[in-house]
Amino acid sequence: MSSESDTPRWREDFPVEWEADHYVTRRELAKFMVLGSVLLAGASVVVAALGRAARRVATALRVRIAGASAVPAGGSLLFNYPSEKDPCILIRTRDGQLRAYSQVCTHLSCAVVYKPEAEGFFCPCHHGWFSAVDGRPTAGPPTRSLPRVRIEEQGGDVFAVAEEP
Amino acid sequence: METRKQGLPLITAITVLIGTLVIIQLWIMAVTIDGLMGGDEHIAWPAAVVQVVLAAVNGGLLYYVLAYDRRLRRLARRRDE
Repeated sequence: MSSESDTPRWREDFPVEWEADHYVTRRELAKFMVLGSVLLAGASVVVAALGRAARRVATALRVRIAGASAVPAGGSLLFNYPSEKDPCILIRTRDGQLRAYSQVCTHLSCAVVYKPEAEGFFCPCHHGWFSAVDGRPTAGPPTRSLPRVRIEEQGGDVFAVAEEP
Repeated sequence: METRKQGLPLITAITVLIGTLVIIQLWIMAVTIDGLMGGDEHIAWPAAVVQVVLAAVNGGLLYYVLAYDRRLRRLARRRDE
């Protein structure tokens, strides 16, 4: 003697009828995709919040780089900002302007080097070039500008005060 | 009156729609992370809002499917009685 409650669970999950079997499968797929959708939305909110928090930390940091006289015209100096894992480069252009940028190439993250004769940054990995005036890519594969580091001169010292996109 | 025959194309269409929205969400996520890596965090919050809206739409579609399913079961039970 059997009743509906006696039906084993596997029979519910794998019905004999072809049509019912597909119906259940699609419903489960829809549930799975909605779960993924909700997780993606949550991840986006977390990413946005972390991005804002990181920006706040970056803009709140004021770090001494070096004495202003440590970088001659056409020279460069490496430093790390905002964390020890973020290599940056401070340069003094041939006309005497101090500028600082991230040293990480926006193409595939190689370290760029300053070329004063070309007034630009050169990435030796894939021959990319960036302008030393504003960090914009001028040649090669990079498509995004080098992030600029805002600097201030105070009492003969140079300070990194914020990282700009 | 709902029937299982109507339900099959309905759930197929809704599953395809949910899948399309999830793919759009994945694309938005990729663009957001790309922007953040490039230092452009202005896109992050609008993207997060759109993601939440799309997830809510997906949730609504799933709710509709489950409600449809419940109605079918109820109808079938009534028919059996």
